[in-house]
Amino acid sequence: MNNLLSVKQVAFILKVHPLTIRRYIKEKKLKAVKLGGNIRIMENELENFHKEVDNPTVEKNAFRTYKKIAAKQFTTEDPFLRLQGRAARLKLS
Amino acid sequence: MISKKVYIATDGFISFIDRAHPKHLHAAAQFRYFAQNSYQLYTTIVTINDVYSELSNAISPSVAKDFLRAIELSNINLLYPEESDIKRALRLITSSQSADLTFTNAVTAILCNKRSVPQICTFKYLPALFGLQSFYLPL
Repeated sequence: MNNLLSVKQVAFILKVHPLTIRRYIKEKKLKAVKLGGNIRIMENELENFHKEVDNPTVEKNAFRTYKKIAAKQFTTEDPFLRLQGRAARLKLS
Repeated sequence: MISKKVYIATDGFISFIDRAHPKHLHAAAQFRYFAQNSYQLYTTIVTINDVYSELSNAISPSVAKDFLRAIELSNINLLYPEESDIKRALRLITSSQSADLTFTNAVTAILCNKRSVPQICTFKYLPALFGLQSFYLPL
């Protein structure tokens, strides 16, 4: 069975204020259960949260993929190449 | 490994479009090389504005419009400076001792540094900023 931790204990482990833990629970970043009016966090939920904080893969990778997709390659069929020698500047002297 | 990212400066575009430009043939050869080797070309909205103004004033407004149309359809990557980039560029200009450093050059250098673009296609003097180098066609 998983150990149940109080908000204070989790705050101590994560080195943050207990109010921060309550905010994480409210924002559903950290799963918690209520037992007789008291908030308890399961140890494995805390481990999951820790893993997500350590390696926020989804958001970072999404940004990287976006960057990779955004860089387009210049090819021989590019419409810009049609502008080659399109005009000549008049030299009035 | 040689990077396939090149930034196109204002005179790079102008010399390619203007057939009377002394570097026109050189620019055409460079663009052909970029296309054949699938280079990633970059430019900024500041450079686009400069090219548009120069084409419109020195050649004709219709050519300037054609340039904008081509850029819209082209695979040239447009970089948009953020507020922080503009602030960095202004700080760079005010702290620089060189009088040749223009706002366009400063923004270019900052955005190239941000997107790891090491080379720039230009025929003008380039202030040494963030290790940015001019692009030369390989022999």
